[in-house]
Amino acid sequence: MKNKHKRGELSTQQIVLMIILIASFLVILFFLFRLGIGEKSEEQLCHNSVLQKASIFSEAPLQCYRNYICITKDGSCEELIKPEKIKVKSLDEVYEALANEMTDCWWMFGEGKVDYAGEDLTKNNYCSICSQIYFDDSLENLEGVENKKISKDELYDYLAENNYSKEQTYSQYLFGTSDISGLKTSILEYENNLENIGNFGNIEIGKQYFNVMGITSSVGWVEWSGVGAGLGATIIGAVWAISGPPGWIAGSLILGGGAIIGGTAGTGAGELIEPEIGAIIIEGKSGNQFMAPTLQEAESDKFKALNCEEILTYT
Amino acid sequence: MLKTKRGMLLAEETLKMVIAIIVIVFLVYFLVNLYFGKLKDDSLKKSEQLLIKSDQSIKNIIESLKEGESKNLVLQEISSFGDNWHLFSFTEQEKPNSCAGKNCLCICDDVIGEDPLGFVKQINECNKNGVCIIVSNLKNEKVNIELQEDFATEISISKQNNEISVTKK
Repeated sequence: MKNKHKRGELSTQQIVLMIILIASFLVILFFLFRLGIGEKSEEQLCHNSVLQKASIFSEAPLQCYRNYICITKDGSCEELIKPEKIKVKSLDEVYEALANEMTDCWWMFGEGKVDYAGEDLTKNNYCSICSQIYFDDSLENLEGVENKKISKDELYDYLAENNYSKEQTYSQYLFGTSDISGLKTSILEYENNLENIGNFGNIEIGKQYFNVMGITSSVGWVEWSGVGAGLGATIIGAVWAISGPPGWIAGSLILGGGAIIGGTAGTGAGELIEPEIGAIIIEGKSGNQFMAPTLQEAESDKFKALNCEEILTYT
Repeated sequence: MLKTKRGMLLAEETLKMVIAIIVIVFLVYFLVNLYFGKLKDDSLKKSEQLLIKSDQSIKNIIESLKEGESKNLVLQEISSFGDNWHLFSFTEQEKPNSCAGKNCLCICDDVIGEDPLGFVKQINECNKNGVCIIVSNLKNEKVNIELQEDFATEISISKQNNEISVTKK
């Protein structure tokens, strides 16, 4: 039978095989897209560009894009166009989603081990908005939510009490410690904290928040505070009880402090900022100081008080 | 027997041809995407310069405006391949994602033309392929200024009662 065929001639069997192969390929592609592998590759692409920038100090911009996320109970998300929807049934699931966003952000930007800001830059704070999160109105029906507010203190407690991996909790991964209450006491007792600010504030349902982290170029948070103070941010150095090794907390940013801030471009008249611990500063292993991922209302005065010189992530 | 062989050959040639056409279509699609992607990238970079990054950017001018003051700005063309880039304002409820729910100005390709029902389509276009800046105190009025291809467009930015207004001169 074989002899009857010309060389290179395709048999029916081969054609069928080829069709099956193409069909299988399409099925695999379909499942890859359904699994959201693309999102993971975007995170990987960002992480690689951060590592590349640090290793050869290339001038190429980081390949990091802002993620648009909607946390919802009923699946509706009016404020964002085609966001990634995270459906939740309890407050714990909200905290879990936020914890994962914060740790993803910390991982993408090198976990405090990578200097992607470089030496040549002047006194600047380079921020990365990893995700823009909309807290849908339907969340106000969740048990534990009062006055349309979600407590960030409870979020930080969640970070301290729940495991990120087998070896460490979310807060150990992000801040090097799980002792959040000790950190709050330390900040509260710090002599420059005149207004006794010892809480992380609230998230208001129905608003959009940035999940933002930062790196200082060649300056530490003391100089950072000098810049931030001009915008109404009171930034204190709540030094950890025992000065820890790199990877540990170096201080914290207290935003607000009762300061009346003047009208800046794009904002209205000056307004009172309710003070809160805005972010935790980490002494990075790279020698830089990092602002650990924090949630601040999008384009709010508190966000502006972080004084981000440049946003390294694309919209 | 001969007939069958001829038939087999025809089927084989057809299959080869179909595969060749599929490959060529993919190749053309890839090249066209690459070319227009590059054009869009350049347009977005120019938009970013106009809105945010240059010394005389719209953002810098808005930030420097004092109450009752007005400044003029010349905007250069954005794209030169049939695209029709405009400066839009978004002050209604629906806005591109990067506006974070606040009033904003965006530069993007005009996809609605004169069709008023295409507003949602326009928001989607600006969301996907546009550059936006948030101007919380942007006056609640429609801005739709074409950035013309052959000559520069002059706009006026003013601040009255702490509201920012953008008009074509």
